[in-house]
Amino acid sequence: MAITEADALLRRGASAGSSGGSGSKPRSKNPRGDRFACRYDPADPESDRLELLRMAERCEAFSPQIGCATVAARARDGSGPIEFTEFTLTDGLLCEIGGVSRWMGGDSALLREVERVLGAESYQARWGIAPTLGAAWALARYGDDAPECSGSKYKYSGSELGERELWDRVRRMPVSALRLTPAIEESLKALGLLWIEQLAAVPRDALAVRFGGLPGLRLDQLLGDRDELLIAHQRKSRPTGEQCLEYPTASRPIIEGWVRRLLERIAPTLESAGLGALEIICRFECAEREPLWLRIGLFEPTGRIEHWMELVRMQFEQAVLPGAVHRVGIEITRTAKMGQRQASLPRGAGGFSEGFGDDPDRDREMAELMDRLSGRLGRDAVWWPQPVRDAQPELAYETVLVAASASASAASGDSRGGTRRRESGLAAHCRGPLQRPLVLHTPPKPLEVLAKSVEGPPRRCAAGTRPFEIVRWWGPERIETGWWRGVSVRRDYYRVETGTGHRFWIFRRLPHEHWFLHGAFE
Amino acid sequence: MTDATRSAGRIAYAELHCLSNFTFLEGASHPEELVLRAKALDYAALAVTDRNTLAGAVRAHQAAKDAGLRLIIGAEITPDDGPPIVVWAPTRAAYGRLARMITVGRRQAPKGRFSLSLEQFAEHADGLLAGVPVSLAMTGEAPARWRSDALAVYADVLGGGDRCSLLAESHWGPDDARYLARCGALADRYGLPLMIAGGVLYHAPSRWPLQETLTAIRLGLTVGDAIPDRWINARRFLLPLDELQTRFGSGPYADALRRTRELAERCPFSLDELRYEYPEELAPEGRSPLEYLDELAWRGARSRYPEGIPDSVAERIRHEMALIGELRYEAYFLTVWDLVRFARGRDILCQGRGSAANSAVCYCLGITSVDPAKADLLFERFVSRERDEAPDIDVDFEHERREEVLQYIYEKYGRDRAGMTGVVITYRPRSAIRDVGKALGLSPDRVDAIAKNVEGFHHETSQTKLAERCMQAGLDPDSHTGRRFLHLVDEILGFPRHLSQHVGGMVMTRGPLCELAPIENAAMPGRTVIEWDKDDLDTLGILKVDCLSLGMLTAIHGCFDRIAEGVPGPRWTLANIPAEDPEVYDMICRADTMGVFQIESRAQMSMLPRLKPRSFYDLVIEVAIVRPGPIQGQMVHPYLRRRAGEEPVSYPNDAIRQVLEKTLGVPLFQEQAMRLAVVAAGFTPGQADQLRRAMGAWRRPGVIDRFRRKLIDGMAVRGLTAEFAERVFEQIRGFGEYGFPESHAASFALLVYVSAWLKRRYPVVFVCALINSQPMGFYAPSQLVRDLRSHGGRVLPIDVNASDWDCGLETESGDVRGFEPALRLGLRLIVGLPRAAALALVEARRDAGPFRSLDDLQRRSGLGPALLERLAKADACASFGHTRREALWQAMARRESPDARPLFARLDDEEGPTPLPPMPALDEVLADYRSTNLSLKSHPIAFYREALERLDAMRASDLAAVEHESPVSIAGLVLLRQRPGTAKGITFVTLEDETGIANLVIRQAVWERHDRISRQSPAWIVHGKLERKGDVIHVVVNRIEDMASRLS
Repeated sequence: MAITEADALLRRGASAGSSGGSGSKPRSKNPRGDRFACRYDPADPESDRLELLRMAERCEAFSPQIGCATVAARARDGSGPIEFTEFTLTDGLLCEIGGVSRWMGGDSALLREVERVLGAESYQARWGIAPTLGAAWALARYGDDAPECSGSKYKYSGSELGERELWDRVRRMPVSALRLTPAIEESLKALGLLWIEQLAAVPRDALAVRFGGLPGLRLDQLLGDRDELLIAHQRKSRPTGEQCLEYPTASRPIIEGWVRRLLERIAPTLESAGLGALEIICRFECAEREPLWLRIGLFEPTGRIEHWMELVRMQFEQAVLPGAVHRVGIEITRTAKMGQRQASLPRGAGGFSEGFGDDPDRDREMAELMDRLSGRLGRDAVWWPQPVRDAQPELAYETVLVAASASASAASGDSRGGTRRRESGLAAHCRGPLQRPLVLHTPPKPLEVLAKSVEGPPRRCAAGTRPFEIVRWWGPERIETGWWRGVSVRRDYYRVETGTGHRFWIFRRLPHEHWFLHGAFE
Repeated sequence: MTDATRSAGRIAYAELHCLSNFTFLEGASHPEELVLRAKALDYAALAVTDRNTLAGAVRAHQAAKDAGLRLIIGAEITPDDGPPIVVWAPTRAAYGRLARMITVGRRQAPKGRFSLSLEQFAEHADGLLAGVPVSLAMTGEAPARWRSDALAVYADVLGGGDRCSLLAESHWGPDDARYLARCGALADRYGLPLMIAGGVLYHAPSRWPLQETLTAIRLGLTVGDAIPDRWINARRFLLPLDELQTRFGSGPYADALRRTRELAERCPFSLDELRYEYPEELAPEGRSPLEYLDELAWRGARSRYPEGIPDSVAERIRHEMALIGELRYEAYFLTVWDLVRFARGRDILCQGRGSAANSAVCYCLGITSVDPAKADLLFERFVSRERDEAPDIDVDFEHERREEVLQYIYEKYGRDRAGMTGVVITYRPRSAIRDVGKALGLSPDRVDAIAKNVEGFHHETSQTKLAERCMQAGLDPDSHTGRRFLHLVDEILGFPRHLSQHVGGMVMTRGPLCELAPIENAAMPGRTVIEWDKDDLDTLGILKVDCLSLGMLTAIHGCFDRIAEGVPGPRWTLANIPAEDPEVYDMICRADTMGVFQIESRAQMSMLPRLKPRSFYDLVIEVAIVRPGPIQGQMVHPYLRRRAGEEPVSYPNDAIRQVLEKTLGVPLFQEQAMRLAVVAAGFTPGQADQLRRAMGAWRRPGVIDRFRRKLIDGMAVRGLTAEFAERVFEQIRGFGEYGFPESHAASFALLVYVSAWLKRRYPVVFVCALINSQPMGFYAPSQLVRDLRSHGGRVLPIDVNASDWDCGLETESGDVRGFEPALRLGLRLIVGLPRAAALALVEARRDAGPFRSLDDLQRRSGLGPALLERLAKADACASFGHTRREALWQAMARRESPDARPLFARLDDEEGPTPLPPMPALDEVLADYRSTNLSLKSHPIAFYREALERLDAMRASDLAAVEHESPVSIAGLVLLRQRPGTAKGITFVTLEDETGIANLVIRQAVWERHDRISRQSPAWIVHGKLERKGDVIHVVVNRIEDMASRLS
């Protein structure tokens, strides 16, 4: 926007800035649902900023110009240089509502609507309306604290408040209503300059020598002697494509062809940004029917149209078209940088991923296999076992939903995925061949065993009614662990070979001398 | 198994690879526990081989000596490019090389780490025996992180099969048979003998959870996390011989088992061989050190007693010299004498403390100041024939100048022969709770809550107390987690955690220091410490000198200097202060002792009016009695009652009378506890000394209780009642926490007397010196200044045209002869003003006279605008006629650089009147506190007096007139919050208002009921009951209010 235009905008008679300082929103998202536990998350300024921008987009209904940053501009009488002193809010939004409230049924109605919208998001609104951004900011934050200023009444009657009265109130606010730096505020306090009117009485030169230009600038901005431009927040658009068909059709090849063409159109924009798609939404609109939505999720950001199409086709051929489609829309709803692999995918995939190692092509093929399996079977039907470093055999692996672990790590680019137990690789102590069986009974099955002695190796055992003579044995391997889980596990494991050629993995539970069959080498 | 079968099927086994808890956060048993267990299991020998360290060697050595077990000295070394290797020292020479090897590895890595190349290992391996534990990596079952030829290098370096072996360490893993077979194959391939070893991490399987906890702490994980390389079972303990016999006694591994015994026999080296020789360069050419020491002692005696050496003293000197000569300690005395001589030469005040004050020779050499002619001292506490142990001389130096003494030592003996003593930091209740709690995955705030609750509660480590604390913090002590937590905390207490640097212990050697004990990097750059602490050095009889720093010496020195400037006549020294001045004792009896060494604490002050010291020896008792030892031993009240004649003094027998008579039958000093053990329980002096050491050892497992039986039985034999015996034991145990030896108390008492004399005679000078020596003592400058003013002393504010960096003295006429000077506060009190800047200011003022304006000050001193503002905020510009705000306004005008100030010329006068509102009086006072931590204008509480009177809050000065047990309310600033470990959770708080201070006693329940206010609020209104015992007044509080919120 050109400066002159903005100038004109601000100059308009009833122009007003509204500053909605967002109140605190309790972070009540507690995924574990612990009723008694308190969860503390570290401060995350980036998330706060994104949330603020989201709120800005939410408030676009109230104002054509909404944002959280301003720059200082030329003096009102046109003299002096144009300054670019930036100011960015971290805890509130600035809305230009000049001329808007008329359409909303007046300021009060507008404010009620804003409160409703923010309230729906569990935010409490504080605000002020004033002819300058500086005064609106000050009213929103210090309106209640200004001496002889009673409650929040003025906030609703911002436009009804006479100009004189408004400036009177503003001048009796503390200097911290001026958007100064903490260091300057501290110094002013030491000097006993506590109120805006005291500061305004000090010659500007004397102020400038001590504190630079900022106090003067802010005073001017507050009182409207110098302009301040609102930098409007621009919504970022997602890559989308849409095509109106010449005539409605139910022909799947034609529709698929349009999907491909739309994807081909979108692909270059993604590619040039170095992004790959992680989620694609396809919308097929039919006359007088709810449109059909397809959501295609990917495990690895990719820009390969062939792969996209394969996945689209898999879902599309299973979907029932509600009728003849007259419009096709595509939106890439989640993207990630290409080459940011989900480390948990191939490496976490246990034994069978060993061969994939560090070969990027194999990685990609693996990811595509997962995509295809999930596309065919559903995203909640594909699992993989993951080794866990735990000495207790039945706890030494977990089955993990591929989709869950992949999407968790893809978004953050973080392969740790939250649980520390799931470090890669098997525990250091069982690397030899055939130290662990492939078949594991969960829970272990009780076993009748005749042993050489109380602590000695087993001689014969009976699984169910069938007795086995033990001809060879290896062990004992003692496993003691889990004391921190409440009950510690103490077992002596033997690998045994029976006269019939079976190889079992059995253990004696200590100290009770009960035997269990835990697995079989088959 | 019966004894008969045991001896029949006896196998001999020595455990050669065993980590103690000196492999920090990995080994889970004390060296002593390992040794005792090995002895109980009838091992032939034990090698405690901590990883890359010998820090636990002396503890193991002492324990092995006591238990009669052969100990092999060695260590596990982990070269960067080779597998871990265990080395053992067969001879003194090989030991020296091992210590040097560890030193090299430690010195080239950051603190606490180790880094050594295979080449460097080879360089220092001469004469050492070694064993390489066979790991999965060597058998090809895991990737190796080292050079493929590492094993060959070891075999080569150590001269083939003769000195290097392989250690087979199996722990019931997935496939032990296969592992052992591979070990055998590996041995054949390299032609190395195979030995069985344990790779032991704890003495008994019960320590396994603790070992896992330690590992989790080390890695910053919780025990439930995937701990890398966690072992799958609890088999890494010292195995019973039966089991070894069953597994290896016959068959292919019998030889491997037998070789362990052979190796033990090849290692006869013991740490006792570190026959230590002191530096010898101190005697002049052609004189033996003993002759020289003798001459110095007598020369010193003559100057100490110019009127003639008293016979008793001469007799003592002869006695001591004979013993010194016999035990060959003369070089040690010369070493310390040399340090003291150096300090005196530099005009650094110093004084020996501790047991050295028992020596007449030390007095004559000028090391200590307790006159043997006047005090009844026990030389055997210091040096004794029974105890083959180097004497322990601690010397206090002025705290600001101790570094000069340390530098002198390095210069004189060289860095390779002098080093600092290490100190092993062990787990205390708080750290134990924090680390164990974290490792068990308790929530951080809960761990924090428990840890904060036990803060400073030394005696509250019993399980029941801790359980209570857990309950308060919301952790059920009977839950699984609670029980595990309590158990692990209890076990980990006293475990070493890391090595740090002793505050002033210096070791000096004749040969290279690093061949005596390994040296490692300390936290401070350029500093190194040896791996042994002072107990270790004591055990081996190695010379060390503690060079400590004491703020009071700095202050006393300051006083002597200032008085010498102001008053003609001989200069005062520690030795010539007039003794036994009754006015000084009057002052002490009034507890008017703020600033006086030691007896200024709240507890000491409340003791003074009850004990009423009237002589030097009373001060010795006063210093010793207000200590946790005597307090916990229930000795204080009996002593006071007997002193007041309210209780008869009786002695079970004459021998005991001799020991206890001077303290009215109550043991107050360590020496008395020792002697009591001798005369009442038949201990030998050597055993009594072991008892003394046990008193000092904190949480060494079960040490002190071993003596209990012996003591009680011994007393029973001598016809003393069990009740008396139990009481004596409890008293002695009390010393285990904190007790003073008499000689030490006497050394301190001397400083008490000197500082009290200075306070009485030269109060302004005294406060001046105290402030200039800050930080020290219990009180901040604001209290010292208030105390001085209440005694009529004049105090002048900080001013840029009058103040130096230090506080100074001024008289009206500028002449200090009259010596009733006023105290001029120094620039050092201004928060955040750097010394260099202040000195530049003073310099500029000295060069060309007082500053005329702020502008003048800036121009001539070159101070930056930020510092000018600090001066202005401190109201130090009054001599320019500026108020604080005006000065600040002027100073701020210099903030922007001249280029950015087009209106530069309009500064100062031309700018017109300052548009600033005047500062309210309260704000002035608060600004004073903010910038200098004190105010001469008024007391902040004074501004609220009216409001406080409406609330019926009294002044502190009014309390004296209130009757015992009357209800009172009082308000003030909180000066001190103290909760001594001996006070059963009672907190002592000092409140200050504009008239003085009030002493509060707050029971734990009250404290906790007002938890937030009591911990955080800076000013309180309290309600309670006045309690009066003689002249001592307390307010026992039952309600606390935050003053700010009450008055607003």
